[in-house]
Amino acid sequence: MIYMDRRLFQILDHINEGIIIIDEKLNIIYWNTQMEKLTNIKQEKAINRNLYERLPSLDRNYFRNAIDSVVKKDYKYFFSSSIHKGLITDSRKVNVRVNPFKIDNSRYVLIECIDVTSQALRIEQLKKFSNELYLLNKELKEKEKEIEKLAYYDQLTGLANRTLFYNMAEKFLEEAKRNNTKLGLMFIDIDQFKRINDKYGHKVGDQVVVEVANLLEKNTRKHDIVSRYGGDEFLILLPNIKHYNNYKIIASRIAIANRRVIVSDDIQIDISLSIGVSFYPRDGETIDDLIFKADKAMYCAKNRGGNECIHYITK
Amino acid sequence: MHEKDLTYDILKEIFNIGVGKAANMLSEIVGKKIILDIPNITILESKEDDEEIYKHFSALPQGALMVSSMKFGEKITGEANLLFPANKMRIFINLCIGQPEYMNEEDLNFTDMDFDIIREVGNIILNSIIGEIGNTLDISLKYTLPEVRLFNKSKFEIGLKDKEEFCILLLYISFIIDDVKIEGAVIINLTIDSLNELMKMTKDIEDDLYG
Amino acid sequence: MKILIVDDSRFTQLTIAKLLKNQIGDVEIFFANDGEEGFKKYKEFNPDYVFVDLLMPNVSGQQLIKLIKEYDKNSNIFVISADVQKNVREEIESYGVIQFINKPFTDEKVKLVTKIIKGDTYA
Repeated sequence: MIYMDRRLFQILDHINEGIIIIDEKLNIIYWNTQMEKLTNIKQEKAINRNLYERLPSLDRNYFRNAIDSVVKKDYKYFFSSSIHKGLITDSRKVNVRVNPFKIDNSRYVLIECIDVTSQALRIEQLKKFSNELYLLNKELKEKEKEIEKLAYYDQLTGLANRTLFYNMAEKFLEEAKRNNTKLGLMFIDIDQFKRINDKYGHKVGDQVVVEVANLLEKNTRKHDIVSRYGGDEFLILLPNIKHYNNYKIIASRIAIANRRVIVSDDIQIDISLSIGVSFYPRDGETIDDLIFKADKAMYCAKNRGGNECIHYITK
Repeated sequence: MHEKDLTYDILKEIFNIGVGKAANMLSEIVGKKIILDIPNITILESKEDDEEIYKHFSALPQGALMVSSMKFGEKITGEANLLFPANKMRIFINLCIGQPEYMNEEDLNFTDMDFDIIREVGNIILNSIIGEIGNTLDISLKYTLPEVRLFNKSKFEIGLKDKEEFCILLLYISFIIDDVKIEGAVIINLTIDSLNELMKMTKDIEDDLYG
Repeated sequence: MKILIVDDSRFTQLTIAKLLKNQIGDVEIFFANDGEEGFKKYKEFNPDYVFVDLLMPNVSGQQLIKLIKEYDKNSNIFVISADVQKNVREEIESYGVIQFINKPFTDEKVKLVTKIIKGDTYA
């Protein structure tokens, strides 16, 4: 038993940390006021008792090994409250520091218990706020994307809308002018669309438009732009056409594609498309020019009974 | 110092054992299996080329680093730094706490609680390694509990190179926990005197073995 | 008596060899630096006891133990390892090794080992 200055002990009693001092045999020789508060165990009940008997919450394999190496090998340890739950008490979050010390040839271990419950709470609150901000930010970004989509994409078919079409068209036209390449434009109209709408209703009409949109997307090249220009009208931009006749390849793909729209168990509609084609530089220098010419060609196809693709012919 | 020297081998074994013990304790604490990889050590002395040193530092974990540092002393004095990439630390901390973090994983804002965890882990690893050095060489090394900071690698390099004469032990460790591979490094810088002291001790062990 | 020590650390090889020689005396010791060399030398020298380290390059200790057991099911294997996790220990013990020993290999541990070895000789 070591001689302890009573005054030192009084000082330790005023410290805001729980302090336990044990000897080499792991018996408690000091237990301060803060420790009493943390554990509800009075000093008289703790002195001379074995550490693990008095505080069974400390009786964990790794803690035993740690104390062992503190006593035998002078190691120091730090146990953080967030990893080690309930090491000292279940009701507070406590960090534990373990340090060896020697007085006159006898070895002792100082165990400091630091209550960090309020800091932990504050951090949890901050984390919650931060997380809410993060989620809000994510939501805003998603809304932004949606707005962008609405501005540039047709809601029903997902195709580019007029606005996006004109943007892309200007860009492609400039490229074609710069690189001396050809730009093709297809104007597509669904034959007898008004009749379909009248006969089967607008819902079916919408389905048909969606099917045509998918069909066109599938049968054009990767860099072609398919857009919904109007109710049943589509415009396709064909950049980098090598020869004027190459449009026929795409046209035939569209022609061969499945034209049967299955509306329900008993309703099937066969659709046909009228297509007009115009080209830069042959048919015009501006987009509006090209649209005008392609439209005329398409109209021509329609007058011939539909289900056909015609390129603009200068009269 | 040559790789073939027994001294090099002795240090490697010391680290091996230290890391093994640390992994054991960590494994018990987080309740998960840790798969260890063979640690790799390099010894750099200041008389070596700047290029060599630069090459080795480039191999250190990239990105923001969490550094746990402790100073140790008595017969051998120096500083041990434990470096881990911050993003991997984020994952590791989440593992330690045990509860799924609802925050995104790229979040490199570490709270005080996070730093506490790193301090603890840093202490366990450095404890074991420094402790094992002391054990094997039969000396007692006094050290402090580590401090932790988020570090910028280039600043760290400059800081180290500023010291006039130095000797650096670079220890690369890597382990897998819960299918996540975590690679880090322990950098121990010693004064030249300490290095000589270390060499003397390992030479004694060598002589003892061959004798 | 022939003993094979398989460990990638020369230091450990020499330490174990020295401690064993002190306790046993008349013993011939062979060394291997990794699992591949270890298996080769096992087949070549047919030692009475093998000491195997777990963490090694090329063929690991675990793989080596499996190879040796397949080759000779009565082989006597001691495992020495820096990896002291309980689950690792349990897994290795299930392979039928004599003892799982934690590094570092000290005087105490070698005494335990020689007790087992000497016990065997009189079995």
